[in-house]
Amino acid sequence: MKSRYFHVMLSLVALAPGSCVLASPGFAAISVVAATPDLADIAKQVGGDRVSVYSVAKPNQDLHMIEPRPSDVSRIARANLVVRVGMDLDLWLDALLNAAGNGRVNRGGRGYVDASIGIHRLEVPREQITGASGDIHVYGNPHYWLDPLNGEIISANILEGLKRVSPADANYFERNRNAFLAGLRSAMRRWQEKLSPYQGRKIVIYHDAWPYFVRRFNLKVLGCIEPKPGIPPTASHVASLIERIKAEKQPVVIADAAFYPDKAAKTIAARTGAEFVVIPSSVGGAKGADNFFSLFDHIVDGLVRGFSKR
Amino acid sequence: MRLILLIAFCLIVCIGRQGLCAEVKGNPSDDATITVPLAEFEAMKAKLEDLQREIEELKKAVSLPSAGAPAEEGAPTAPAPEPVAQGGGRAIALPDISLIVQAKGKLSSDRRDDARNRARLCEAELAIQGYVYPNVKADAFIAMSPAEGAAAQAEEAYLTYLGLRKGLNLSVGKRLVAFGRTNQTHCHSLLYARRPLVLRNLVGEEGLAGEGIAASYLLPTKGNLFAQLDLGTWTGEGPGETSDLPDIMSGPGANFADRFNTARLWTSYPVTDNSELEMGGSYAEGAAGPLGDTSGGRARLTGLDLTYRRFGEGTSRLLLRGEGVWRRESADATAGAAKGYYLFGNWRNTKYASLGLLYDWSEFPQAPDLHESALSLILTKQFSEQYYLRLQATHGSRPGDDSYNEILLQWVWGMGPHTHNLE
Repeated sequence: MKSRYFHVMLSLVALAPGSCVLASPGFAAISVVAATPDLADIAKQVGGDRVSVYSVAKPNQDLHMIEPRPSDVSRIARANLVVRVGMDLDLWLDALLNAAGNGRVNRGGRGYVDASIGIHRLEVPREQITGASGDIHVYGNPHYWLDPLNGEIISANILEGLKRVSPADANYFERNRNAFLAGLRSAMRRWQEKLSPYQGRKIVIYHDAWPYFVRRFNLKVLGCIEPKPGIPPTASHVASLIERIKAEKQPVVIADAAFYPDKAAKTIAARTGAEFVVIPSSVGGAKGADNFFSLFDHIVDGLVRGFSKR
Repeated sequence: MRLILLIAFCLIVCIGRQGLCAEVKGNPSDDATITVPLAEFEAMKAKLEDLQREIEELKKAVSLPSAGAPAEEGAPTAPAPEPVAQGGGRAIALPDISLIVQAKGKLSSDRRDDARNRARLCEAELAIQGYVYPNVKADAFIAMSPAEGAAAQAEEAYLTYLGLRKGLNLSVGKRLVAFGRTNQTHCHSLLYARRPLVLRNLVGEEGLAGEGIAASYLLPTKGNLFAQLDLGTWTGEGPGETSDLPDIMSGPGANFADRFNTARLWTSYPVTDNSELEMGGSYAEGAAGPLGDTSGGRARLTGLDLTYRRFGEGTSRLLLRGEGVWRRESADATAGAAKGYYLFGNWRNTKYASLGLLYDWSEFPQAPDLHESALSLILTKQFSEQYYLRLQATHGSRPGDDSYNEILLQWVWGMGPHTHNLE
């Protein structure tokens, strides 16, 4: 009886589409598993055709609420390199790493990359954090990839990881990274030029994910629709935001990613006349925002559209 | 060096502004008012404020001693954060400590239910988690259940050796065993206010736990198929309590008297980029405790489970799950034999709320001719990542009460970085 049931299960495994119970050895490219589409794109740009890259989180998913999928365990089990956001944003990745039992990509292994190393962190808490603070990250605001120049640090960390995993391709990876940096600097000039007329202007966002971006482009955040990170907006908080927007001399733009609830944002826009624009916060978060550069093209163009409508 | 460059830049900006204003004025003897376009002035002011903030942050970064643990060979780990909690640097040497508390209120039309029409603290779970050695993780969960009159006990306390061989993990200690899809999920992480009836009656009110050794092996499959084999050998917690006719309210659970063994094969495949189909088969066998008039032989539990998940944008997710459990004892073909199943669906549209529907059907090992069934509507309001409220309204039938109604109100709140394995 016992063996019959296991024969049934093993048969189901063998018949599952696209499967073979035992894998045949292959000579594939370096397998990189990244926590987010942004890290995946940078890893692809640095790794070039020597890497195959997969992102655990999909575009337009809230990174705080990722449910790790068992099939991602298989990918990590075969991975040569894992790239994580760090700063406790992707704690869900630990369950996958633990289940995969792949020592080379576990914490401290040669194939483990924490992309946040070296990032100048913003909003590091200075006092005790409790549930009253909302869902605060202990190590600071983790949305650092939204400062495009942090791409320099992210790509440096990925480069070091790729060089550890494949030292023979080090020069190739260096050249790719240099090309990425050249493209980044050129694009940065373009973005700064587009946003320079709007320096000092204020935006309202849903979730506190944009401090790195506003710092880089000299914008300001007037307020967040979430009264505290992860806490849904209340009527009184929305009302006070409306009053603050009305008190502003210059028009304010309401902007954030498509996957946040937009009811409060639309209400505020209707009551204040502020422009509401949807901008992606990760690669793939909008049609055409399919790499790190076009992501910021979409963000910058969206904000310019919002600022210039009044 | 960066600090010096930033200060120099500020000075240059200030001096440059004066020089520019001098050109604009055209006459050094005029009084000291400067006329600059407002937009330009605001932009320079914003830039100056940013620079001042950066200087402050750099000053603090330069003055703080580095407190990171030495990195192991390979990747550098993230530098230790500034000590933010009281206690200074010693705080970073502590493991993850958290407390999760669950309270429930129950209204029920079944007058035999001792827990009806009252609200009680069901469980407070203290979790202490951390690494004790490279790739050796320790987890301990101390549970206190005032509602059951039980003293604090180690609900789980185990070491996990990660990646002993590629894909192989080993755990030692006391833990919820790998049987069925949700047995290893703690009750505060479940998507319903009480375990499905078949799991309560045939597996265990709080799940099936044991002390022993378990191996978890990720089979080397091709493509993106996930297949994990779990094998364990355990010493059980002893026979479960049973309620008997006519006031039969629950089954005894697995009812293993002493040692038992478990096996589970869990497979999962990504049907599309945004959906996943899981199938699992479970088996547990061991000496059975006495049950009714029987002295107990060898009890065998078999389980099959199927789960489908589809992920949408943001936080939206649809989950469909079904699980069936069969119980047999070898001493007597009919004694202790029971079966049951549940079907569950959960729709989460935003991270703040979800809606669930649960259908249960289950026999009782101590009374194989009897069964119970229930249909429950479940509403969950998630206030934050650490605090939610759940309402579960049930209509069901059980021996002695063909039609009962029950409302459960569950509060769950937590403090601290409580994490779980893959669920």
